[in-house]
Amino acid sequence: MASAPLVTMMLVACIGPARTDSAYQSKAVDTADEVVSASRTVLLAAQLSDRGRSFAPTVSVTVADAETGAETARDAFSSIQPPDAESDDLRASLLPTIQHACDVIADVRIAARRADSDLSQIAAPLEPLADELDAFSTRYG
Amino acid sequence: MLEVFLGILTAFGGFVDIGDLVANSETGARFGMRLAWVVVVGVIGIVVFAEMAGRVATMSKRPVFDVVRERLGARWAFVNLGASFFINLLTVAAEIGGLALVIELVTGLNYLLWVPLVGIAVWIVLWKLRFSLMEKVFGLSGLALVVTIFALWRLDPGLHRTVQTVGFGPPASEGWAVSASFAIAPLGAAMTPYEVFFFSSGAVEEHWTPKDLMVNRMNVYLGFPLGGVLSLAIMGAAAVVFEPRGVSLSHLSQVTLPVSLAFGKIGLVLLLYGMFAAIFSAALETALSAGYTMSQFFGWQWGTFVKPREAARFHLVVVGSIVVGVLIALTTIDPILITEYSIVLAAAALPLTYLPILIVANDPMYMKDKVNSRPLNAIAFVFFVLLVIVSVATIPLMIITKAGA
Repeated sequence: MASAPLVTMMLVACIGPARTDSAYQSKAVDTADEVVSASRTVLLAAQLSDRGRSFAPTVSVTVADAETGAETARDAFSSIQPPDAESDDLRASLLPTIQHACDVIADVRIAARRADSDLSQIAAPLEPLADELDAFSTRYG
Repeated sequence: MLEVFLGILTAFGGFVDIGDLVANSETGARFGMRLAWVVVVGVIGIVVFAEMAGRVATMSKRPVFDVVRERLGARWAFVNLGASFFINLLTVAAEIGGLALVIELVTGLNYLLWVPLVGIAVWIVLWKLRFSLMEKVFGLSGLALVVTIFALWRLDPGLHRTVQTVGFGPPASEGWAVSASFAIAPLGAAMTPYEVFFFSSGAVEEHWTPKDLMVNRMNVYLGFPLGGVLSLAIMGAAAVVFEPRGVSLSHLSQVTLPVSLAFGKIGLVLLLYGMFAAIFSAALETALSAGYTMSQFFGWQWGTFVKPREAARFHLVVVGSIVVGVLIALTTIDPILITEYSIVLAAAALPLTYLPILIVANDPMYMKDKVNSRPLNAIAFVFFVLLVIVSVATIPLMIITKAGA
């Protein structure tokens, strides 16, 4: 009885390979959504920090959590084997944007840990990147 | 009168725990208020369940697991104990991990550093503080979470945007399976079994008499629904801030953003204090519930009013559950993930403890003239059917939707 939840946890935790183009596309959309979420969380946290509406440790942890989320999504997606040439194109169009977003989030995290001001300025590139990823998600979702 | 008022406030402040914070925020961010009805259903369910359990404990002088063993027989009751105890341990780990995450938000230091210290703090409070005092201190401090209600009002004056997203069906972008999978979380968070184990054990320990049933009803009928309002506010704040931005919620740090947005640092201080108190209270209750369930099943001496030397096995289980909770939290598995699994599995296991209580609540041998009324029985039976459906559907839904991914 007690082992049932453990088995379930293992089953749902597995990231399966993408055997078809549509499965790969679906994973690409999930990844884009995850990075959009992390990017907009960082934008919000940066805005709060600059307006003095949050504490430095809280902002720093929020940004670091978002970074973990974005990087986990990026690593999981980049480790999936694209099943065909069309998926190669999809991968090529998505990964650079995601990588760029992860780099900006890392810059914001570094600045937040130093309690630097102007986090919004450092985070600003995330706005168009998130919009781009959102458009990708809408197009393929 | 003051005692009744404090009891209601304690039930209010102590209603929310890490499960409610996570489940309601996640659901609000992804579905707006479309699953708010699940919170309402969950609150009605826990009100029915807790009131029956309190009444059964008062009239029969026997707490939940004593009744479970008698009604199900030793073998089935043991299976029930195994499932309930395992889920309770996961909840202890989730609460300890949640407390460490709150401290991380204040200090900026990694939560893993705080996990052992939190475990020690929970144990010291259980060991040193009078039960009634710790219940009131942490329950009343949890009322600081009311800041979320005001934050929602400030972010969405008149609640127009919040109300716009209220509904029953899933949004166009989500399927029924994912919506159903997400709906289980707020239900499980509202109807956590440990609350009932704790509540009914308290009734036995404090030697409630039929005269106390009115106080029981006031606490349950007023305190829990007020706690439900808090859960809805947490969901609403997430719905207003995160849903339009396409932000999904996967970290406790994100839960603080709506309140910071509304009230800045003062609001954030209140929120973090309230979160710490509410989760600490839940950590104490879950650790005690581990001792209650095990001791009541095996017929050991138990209780917080009994000297530790006279209830050694009870205290050993309580300490053991804290140690295991700390070890689980130290595995580096995300405490939010542990929370998600603990509340969903709690929902799945609910019928195991609900059914025996429902049966005894109708048994005049124990209950005399305090058996369930017909209307209450009708509601209680509908809930039993609902809980069985949830229980059967939970694990397949988690697998099909990859836990709502």
